[in-house]
Amino acid sequence: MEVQRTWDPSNGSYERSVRDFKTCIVQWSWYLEMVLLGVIISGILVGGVYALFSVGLSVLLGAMRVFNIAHGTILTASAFVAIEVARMTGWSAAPLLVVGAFTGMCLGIPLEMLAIRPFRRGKVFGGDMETGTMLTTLAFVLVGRDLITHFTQAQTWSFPFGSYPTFAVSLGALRVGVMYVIAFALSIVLILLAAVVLKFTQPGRAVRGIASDHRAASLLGINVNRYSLGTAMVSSGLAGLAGALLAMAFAGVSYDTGDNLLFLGFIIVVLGGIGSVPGTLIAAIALGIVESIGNFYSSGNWGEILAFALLVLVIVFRPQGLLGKPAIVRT
Amino acid sequence: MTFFGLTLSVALVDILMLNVLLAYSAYAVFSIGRLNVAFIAFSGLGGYISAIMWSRFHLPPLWCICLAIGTSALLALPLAVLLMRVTSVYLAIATIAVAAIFQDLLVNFQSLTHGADGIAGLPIVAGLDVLAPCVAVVILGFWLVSRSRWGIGMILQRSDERLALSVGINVNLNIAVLFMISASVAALQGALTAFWYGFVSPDAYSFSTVILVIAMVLLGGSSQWLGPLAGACFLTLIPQWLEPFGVWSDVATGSILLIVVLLLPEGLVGRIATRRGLHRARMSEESKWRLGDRTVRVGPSPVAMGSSEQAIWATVARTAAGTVLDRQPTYLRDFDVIAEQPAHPAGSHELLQCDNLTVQVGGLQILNAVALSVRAGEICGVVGPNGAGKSTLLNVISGFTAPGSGSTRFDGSDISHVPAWGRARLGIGRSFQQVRLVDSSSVRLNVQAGALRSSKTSPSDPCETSSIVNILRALNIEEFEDWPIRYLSYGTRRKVELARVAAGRPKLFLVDEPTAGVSHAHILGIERLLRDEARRGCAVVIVDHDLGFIQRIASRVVVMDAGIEIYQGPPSDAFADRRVISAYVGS
Repeated sequence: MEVQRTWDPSNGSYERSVRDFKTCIVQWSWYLEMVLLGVIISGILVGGVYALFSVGLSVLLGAMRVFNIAHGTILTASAFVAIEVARMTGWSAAPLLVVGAFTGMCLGIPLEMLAIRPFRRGKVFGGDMETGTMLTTLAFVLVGRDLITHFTQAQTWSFPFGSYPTFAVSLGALRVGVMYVIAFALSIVLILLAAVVLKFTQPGRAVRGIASDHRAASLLGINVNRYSLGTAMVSSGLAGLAGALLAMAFAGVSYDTGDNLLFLGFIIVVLGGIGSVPGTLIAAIALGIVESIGNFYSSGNWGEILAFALLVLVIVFRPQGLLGKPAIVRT
Repeated sequence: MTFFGLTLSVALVDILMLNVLLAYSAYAVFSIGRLNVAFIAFSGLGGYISAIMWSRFHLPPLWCICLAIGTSALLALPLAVLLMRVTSVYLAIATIAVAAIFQDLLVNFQSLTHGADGIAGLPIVAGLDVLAPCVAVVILGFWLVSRSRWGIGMILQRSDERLALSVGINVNLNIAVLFMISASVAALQGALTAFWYGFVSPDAYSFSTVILVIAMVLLGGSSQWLGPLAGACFLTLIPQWLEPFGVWSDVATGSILLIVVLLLPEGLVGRIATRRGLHRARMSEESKWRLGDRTVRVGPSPVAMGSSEQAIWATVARTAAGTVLDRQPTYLRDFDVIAEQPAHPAGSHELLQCDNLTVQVGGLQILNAVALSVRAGEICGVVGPNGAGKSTLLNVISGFTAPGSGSTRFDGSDISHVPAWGRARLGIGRSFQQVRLVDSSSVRLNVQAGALRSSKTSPSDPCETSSIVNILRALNIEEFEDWPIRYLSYGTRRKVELARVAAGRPKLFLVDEPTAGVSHAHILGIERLLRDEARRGCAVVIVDHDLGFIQRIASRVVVMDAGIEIYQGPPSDAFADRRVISAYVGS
């Protein structure tokens, strides 16, 4: 992950004190309490935004059998559009977040029309919908990434200073950038909203029905195409919002931010159980903590290696995700 | 050299060849329907092993390449075993993770790999003169495989693993071998790339390369041996060709990819193959019609049927066909079935002996201490209400379901621990409750598939082809020989599936609901085929709900209810039995 840590409680003196902790036990215990807590909290906060990004990925894969590689590209594009709007208008954070979400939703329309709809009865790779959509969304990634690189000159862009709050708030003894807290809170609220909509409302039931059998759903009078479009738009809108939030919290976005996030997103989706909103949230926060600790303590990429190895093991031994129930297969 | 406005430099051709190699290494596992992208890690492994061997031990490049290939193939085996049961996009995610782990390890092991800097200073020895023969050998190899019986097995496995198991294909062995082949080709590509550029670095084995190679294979056609070549050429040359358009060239490439995928979902080569198959089917259909005019069947064939109903049907059908089609559809010849009792091979040996078979799922007892023995040449019907455990019994006998307890003996030996593909090779053939066929392939290939693992002749052997025609003729579906399955009616598909099992010359023929959803004429044709099989000395076990059919054909009936055998004996007495009556209609 090439996300820049703006809030980083570590500095040389702490690390040295760890290395010879035999001589300064007192400092060590202080270090453990404060720094580890800080690392964990920053992991949780980042995990919330990861969850916001991954939940659309998860529902698309679970309900529509769409392996959406373009999810990261949509995040990046929406963030750039929001930044451009901020530069032009000087709006404040709240309308900019709406711009990000709206851009994502708009990008979801061509995505569904061109990359998903033709494949509901596709024949690519033996009729495997996931593989077919992977290929078409890949085309979106190629086109989108090149357009983004072209228009941004492959530079890292940030929101103009002052368009979003930058002060720090106190969480107990710790001080955290306020954007982290806002991003986390907004993500949690939206994810819980998504979970409630999926679980208790008629459109949510329709989407779950399509997930279980889209033919049967259409026989029951559910307009599968319309729900597919709606799901793709909501999913992309959440990605767009996550893009704007990440750009504010991490003080910038570059053309490959989304692509880097994408893989993390799929890890979260698989760990949480495909299509499960609560599972996604838990997996995203867990991964945020693991990544935060891994980045902080290890030199090299051992944290990342551990996460990938965990992913492989989960796919092999618990394909339904850590929280999911095993599926019963009938022949 | 210029070619349609595209300047073909030597470097471009070299890169194209390296891409072709990588595309084939991906295709090796894609061709059985598994989206394994670990090839990128093996390409990197090949490159790094070559680089390290050359820079540390000063081995000659050829040795380095061989060592790289050998090591990769060996390491691919445990990976294949680990990922054996992972399918679809999940295999892609898992193997991308493996590739990412590999890339991270390259960066982390500074002392060996020089981390992110990579290893430079390798001799540049892999020119066109080395690459071209390598590519030629690899393509030739894949072409030969696609024509072999192994290639047909791979088509079956890609389309349906249970179908592949039922004709005796060792599905897991195929996965392992193809993982190893994929890793070897990838390592060859990696090593050649190292000796072409003169350096290796971890950046080369990135996610975007994976995506590009997947796109090459799927675009070209993941089920055609020529597909990866076409896809690699397309995606290597088109961007070059669009180069003058500057930044827009990649946008154009992406758009072209999208358009091609939307218009040609089977891939560039797959599309051509489908067209050709359709054309061939149409041609053969026309020739059959012409042939049909000349060799008109002489009058109505003698109908020696037991029931007057059949005779009426036959008359009606013939009249209708005669007036409307001016030609008798071949399947109507099914009415010519000659009703007779199956020959009872008295005293012939017990072929199958199941004892105490028990299957339990959760708290549900699906089979409860079921015993069944079948003699060679006997037709045994298994009937019972839905949920009685009939299909599960067939699944246990054919090895698709492992019983909780009990033993199965076949042909004098204990096969309780033989897997499904092993049982198929021993001579247990089965059809499925829901027809399982390779929809995109021809009837001929589907029927040949049954004989893949049971006879020693190759599928292109004329003698075997004629035996396939004989089976199709016996079922009166020979006119469909060249047709792709997806254009056939349900009844014909049923017959093709039974023809596939019959082509394997099984000793035990397990049939699951052959008459469900099939018209009267087809049922008679199926009945005749099963009688012929029994007369040949094959034991036939039929699960069905058509009690009339079972009473006509079976010499013995087993009635099951709720996992328990409630009656075993001659069919005539079965429906006088009180327990049977109460199982079916209540007491």
